Amino acid sequence: MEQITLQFLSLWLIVAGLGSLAAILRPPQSRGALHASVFYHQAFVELATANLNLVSGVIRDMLLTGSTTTPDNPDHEFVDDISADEGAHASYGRVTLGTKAMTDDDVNNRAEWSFADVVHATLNAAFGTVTAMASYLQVGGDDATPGNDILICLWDIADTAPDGSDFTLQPGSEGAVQFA
Amino acid sequence: MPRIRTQFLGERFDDKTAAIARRRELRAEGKKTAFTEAEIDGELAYFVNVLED
Repeated sequence: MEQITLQFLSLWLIVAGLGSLAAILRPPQSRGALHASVFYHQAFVELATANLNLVSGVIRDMLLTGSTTTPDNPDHEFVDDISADEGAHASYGRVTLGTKAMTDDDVNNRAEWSFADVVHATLNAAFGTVTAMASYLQVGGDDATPGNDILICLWDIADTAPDGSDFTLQPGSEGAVQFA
Repeated sequence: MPRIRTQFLGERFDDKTAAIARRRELRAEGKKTAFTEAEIDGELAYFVNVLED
C-alpha cells in the first residue's frame, strides 16, 4: 500500500498594516518538477469573505502527474486552471475529504487544518507517477463546472508511482496546513 | 475509518457555545488547550483538549 504524508504547508499571516494582511509561505524542500507547496491567493479571498469553510465545505482532491500548467503557481484560481496536469485512468476518481477539522493550538500558537486520510483505492500504475495533490472547494454540487470550483492549496509530494494497491495521502500529525 | 487524531481527544461537545465556555474555564485555571471544530459523519462537533497543565 502506498502511503504518503502531507507534510506541513505552513503559512505565517502577518498584519502588514491596518486592514491589510500579507501571507508568507514557507515551502518545503523542492521535489520533482514542482517547486513548492502553495496556498492559492484566491482561496485567501474566499476564506476572508466567508465563501470557503474548511470544515463544512465540500472539499475534494486532485492527483497531479504533470506540471505543464505550473500548478504550483499561487495565481491559479479554479480547477480548470490546472486540470490538464491531473492524471487519468479508469481506476482513478477524485476523493471528497472527510472528517475535516480546524484546531486552535495554544501550545504551538497556530491553527491547523486536518482531515482523514485520503485513499484512492487500487490506483493503477498506468495512472502515472503522482507528483502533487491539490484540493479545491466544489461549487454547485458537482464537478461539471471546473471553472467555478475554487482551488485551495497544493502539496508537492515526493514523486510516487502507484502500484495498483490503495494510494493513501495522510495529513501530518500536526495538520496538513498550519496558520500562524 | 478516519484515523483518530490527538485533537479529537478530550471533551466532546455538540454545542459550540458550551465548548467555548469550557475552554475559558480551563484557560482561567492556567491550562493550555486546543479547540477543534470538526465535521464527523456530516455533523459538526467540538473538542476541547488540555495540552498542558
